Amino acid sequence: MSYRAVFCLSAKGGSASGGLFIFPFLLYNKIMNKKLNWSLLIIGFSGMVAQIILLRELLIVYLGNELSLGIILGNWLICEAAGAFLAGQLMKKITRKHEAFIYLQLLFSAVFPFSVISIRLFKSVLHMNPGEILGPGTVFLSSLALIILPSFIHGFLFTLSCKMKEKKDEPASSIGNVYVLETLGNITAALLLTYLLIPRFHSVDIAFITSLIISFSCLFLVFPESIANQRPALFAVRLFFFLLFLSILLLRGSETLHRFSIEKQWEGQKILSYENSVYGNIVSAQMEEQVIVYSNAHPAFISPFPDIESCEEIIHIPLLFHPDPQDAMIISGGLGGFLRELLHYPKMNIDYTELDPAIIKTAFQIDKRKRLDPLHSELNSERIHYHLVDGRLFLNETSSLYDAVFIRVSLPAELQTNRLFTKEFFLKAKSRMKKNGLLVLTLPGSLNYLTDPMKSLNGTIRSTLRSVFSSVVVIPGETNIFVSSDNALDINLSRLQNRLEERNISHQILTPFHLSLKLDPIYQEWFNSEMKKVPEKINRDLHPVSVFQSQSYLNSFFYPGRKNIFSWFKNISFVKILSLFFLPLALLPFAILPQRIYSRGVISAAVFSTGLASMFFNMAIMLLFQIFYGYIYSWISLFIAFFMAGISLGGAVSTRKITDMKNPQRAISFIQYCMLLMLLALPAAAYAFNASVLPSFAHLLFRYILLAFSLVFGFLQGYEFPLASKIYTLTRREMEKTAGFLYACDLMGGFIGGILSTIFLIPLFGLFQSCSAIFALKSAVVILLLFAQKNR
Amino acid sequence: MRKTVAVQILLFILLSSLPSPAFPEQEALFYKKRDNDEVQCELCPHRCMLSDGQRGFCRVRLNRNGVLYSLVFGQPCSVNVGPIEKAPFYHFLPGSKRLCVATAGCNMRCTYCQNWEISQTSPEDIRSYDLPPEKLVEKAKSFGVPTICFTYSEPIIFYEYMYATSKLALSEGLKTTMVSNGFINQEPMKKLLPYMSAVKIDLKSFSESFYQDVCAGRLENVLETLRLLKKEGKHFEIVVLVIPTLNDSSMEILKMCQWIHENLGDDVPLHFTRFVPAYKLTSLPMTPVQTLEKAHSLAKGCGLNYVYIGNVPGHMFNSTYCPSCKKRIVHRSGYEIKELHIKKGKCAFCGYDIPGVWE
Repeated sequence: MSYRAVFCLSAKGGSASGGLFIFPFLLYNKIMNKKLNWSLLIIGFSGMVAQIILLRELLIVYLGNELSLGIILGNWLICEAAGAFLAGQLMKKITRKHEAFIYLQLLFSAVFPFSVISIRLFKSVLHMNPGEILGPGTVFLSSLALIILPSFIHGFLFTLSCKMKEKKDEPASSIGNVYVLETLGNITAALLLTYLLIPRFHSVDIAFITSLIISFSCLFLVFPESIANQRPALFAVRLFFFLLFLSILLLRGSETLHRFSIEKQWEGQKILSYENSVYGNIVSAQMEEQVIVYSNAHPAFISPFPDIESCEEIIHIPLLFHPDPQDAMIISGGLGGFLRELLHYPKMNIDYTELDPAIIKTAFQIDKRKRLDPLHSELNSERIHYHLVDGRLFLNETSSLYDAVFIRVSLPAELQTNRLFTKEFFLKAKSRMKKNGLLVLTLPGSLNYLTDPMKSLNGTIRSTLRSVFSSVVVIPGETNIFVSSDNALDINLSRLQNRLEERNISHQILTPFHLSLKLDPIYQEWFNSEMKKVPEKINRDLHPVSVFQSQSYLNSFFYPGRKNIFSWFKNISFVKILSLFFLPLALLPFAILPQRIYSRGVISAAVFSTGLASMFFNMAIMLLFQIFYGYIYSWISLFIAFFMAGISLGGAVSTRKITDMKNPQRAISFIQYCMLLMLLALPAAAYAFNASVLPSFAHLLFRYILLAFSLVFGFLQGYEFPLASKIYTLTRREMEKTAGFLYACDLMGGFIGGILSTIFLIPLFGLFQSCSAIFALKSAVVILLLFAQKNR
Repeated sequence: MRKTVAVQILLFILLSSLPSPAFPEQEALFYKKRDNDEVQCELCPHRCMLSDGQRGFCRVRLNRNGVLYSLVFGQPCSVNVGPIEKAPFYHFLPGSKRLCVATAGCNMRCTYCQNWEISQTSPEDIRSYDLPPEKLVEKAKSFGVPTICFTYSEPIIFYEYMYATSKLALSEGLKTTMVSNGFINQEPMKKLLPYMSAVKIDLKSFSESFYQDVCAGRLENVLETLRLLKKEGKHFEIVVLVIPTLNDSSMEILKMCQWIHENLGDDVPLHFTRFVPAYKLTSLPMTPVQTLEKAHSLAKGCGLNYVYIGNVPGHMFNSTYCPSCKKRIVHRSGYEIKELHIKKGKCAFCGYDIPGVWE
């Protein structure tokens, strides 16, 4: 299922944990004894690999944020849905289905590596600026052109696979079987990508390995018994593809293509290293003497000659508010200058947390190659302690106390990064501070003009800080510096200038004169007057409003044409949103239509809403886990694995029972009731846990409860799809059209759910109200189903 | 290439044919009336042809019933005080402060604009102050600054406001400067210059394709403006923002320096400034300092006397050296003047004439 890739990407990588898959595999041992089933599993596997790899590559090229991710995913899912749907329509015209099945797979195997290379080259070929963020129209059209072939073919193959598995007596069970096999392929892909492929191979290698597996499947697994009977041309084509991919890999042709394509992609720079981690892509490149490390195509740090002005201002000006800082912590973004500035304080000890180990690894590689300051002094100082862990998790677990905590994440633009800008986090940070301790963070600013999105974001974080600290000072600039403390912070220029001189640190730009410019009362007054009418919202863990505000800010210059959408969402009341989620009830008047037509509409709505609810539910679970326990990759993987295992298990059970099931309508209603229950249980559990009304051992248990929730919701979704197919085929015998259409509904629901949950719903209305909205959606579907049953 | 710009302009004008909200309107100084209530703006080389109700590419000029109006006269959105070195002006009242003024809008579309918040927007989309020329001059006097600087977005697009304010400021003993892309027609520039104390021109590249693809402008028109400034004897400085991979080739920089040397002389201050990721170019790195140093040495090799490296705090070429005795005559650190050895426009050590506005 394609939108599972959305889920994996949103969790910053692939997924899955080993032993989990034994059970579904054992359960499906019977199915696996057929070679065709292996081939179907490979289709699921290759589809998932292609989605994740192509999306990762596209995000690098588009320098993506959540907004461009939405466009790309939308294109993928629409193309895949179109493929599945069109296959349903064309199936009768395809006379040689077996041959089509093979040719399409081979075409997919050829198209996948081609797409990876094309993504890397297209900016260069079209003479686009390498570092420019493209407008929405260009992102839409180019990503459509780049992924249309693999996504369309994969969608087409789903429906074709259903046809290949079709049993005359029970068409719906073949859909169920393919659904389960595809999910197992997805899980295998996620597992292999996470633990084997992404850490060890680059995308071109992965694409060719996948192509080799597909061609192997076409050669040996798909109808090998009929090789003797088939046309020689077909066999020759299969053999050719297999040998082609094998030789490309053995002769390292993929390596040559990889080097060629990244050199074109980073034209004008000499590539020093290229690392893929589960968190993203880390590239180090050289221009003249300067080495740049890119994280997902954004410069993470440079050495030598970093942005000295920012380094000095962000580190030293806040520390002027402290009489004698000795212990500091930096969360992310410290390499390449900021850490070196802290080292200027002779007694300073620093804890530095970085989530992605690949960044630190790359930094050490650079240092080994050539000594470049400030990087060298940062990597070799005994006073800096590196912790490759989520900053929030580290703060939760450390017993150290700090004079200053610096958050070097620039924007709370995602649910994950927002956890460092919430009231709950600030409270935690405060508890780890010494007397006179400071919390320092930065946000986008301007001394010329503050746009509305900038004001909202800065205003919310300021009021959130004020709700925790008794004193908050904002130093306006191109980057606004927020300094917070429980000690009274007073911008007494002469005292701060004296302290600056007393410290006798050699600065390039930060002189008493420069300080007087930065702290000029004119700027303070201007900033305060600009912020006067900004509503004082609080950014909370469970109501992460700053995610929306950050997205709105990014949107204001990446995609200004969409500002009206953000304004609309910003101003909409929850009641209106709630009524929107009751929209499926609009189908109710159609209950007077013939039952089969009405029933089809309702079933489509059920599948669509389940896709949407499922994506929301998973996002909510991940958010909760990250809030309470930190970002732990293995656990995030486990959630995805449990969810997918749930789907395959549910699909398997459902497919088994479906043949003898007398009242599938009742069963699907029951599934909806269970989902409603889950939508109540999740916020209830979150509330109980958040409010600390549970005994302490329950806190340890909570993560397992969340895992169980994932598994159960996955099970419900998996159980529903074959049921829906059964009901649909009862009213419309053409299995292939059913499979194509419902698959498309499922995909679209998942896609909309992903975008809606992470950018709008949870950030604007918080977890509890968002759950109510999804509850409303599912309730509406239940009502529709009730009418459908009544009319039977 | 030219087509890209033309299409951009056409699209923009077509899309801007929407009803405009009410603004204090001032009739534009440079335009021609055409048939059927159409007008052609004559301010900048885009020469937008506008039907009734349409706006120019700059977003701030509107044709209403066959009359072209400026929508931002007396309506600045940014007004603040800052050091003159930040412009950067290095040969203009060093160490002094300026009142910076800007309105919404711009006649270019640079993808790396540092002031995109105001330059890439329409006046109705942002908050502005009601500050007619008289009030603005009063404000400058109340802050005690010697200079009003029209900057941030693109002063050309609020020409009428700048012109009226400059005229008034001069009569009140203030100086005026503009920080501009230089994409203006000759006639309006000639009319403005008598009231302008100094001009800083952003020479964005020396490649026509860069201008058209990255900025939606044209190089040749900017070069014409530079020639005009030289001809009129006005003090001006040139800033080149060196962007990695886009305009940093040695050949391009060499050609640029040769052109400056041949057409503008050796004494025009030339600043090579370091690119900092901004707006839509956030994934390009900062310019390597070595690239800037190479550019500096190419310019010096062409015989230019005053070549600077900007945005690299503490760099030795951030300071001014006397071309004659080679001594450091202005020692800069960031925006701070640490030492100033210029007296009455001459080097305090050897008496060599240093071009600029020093008093």
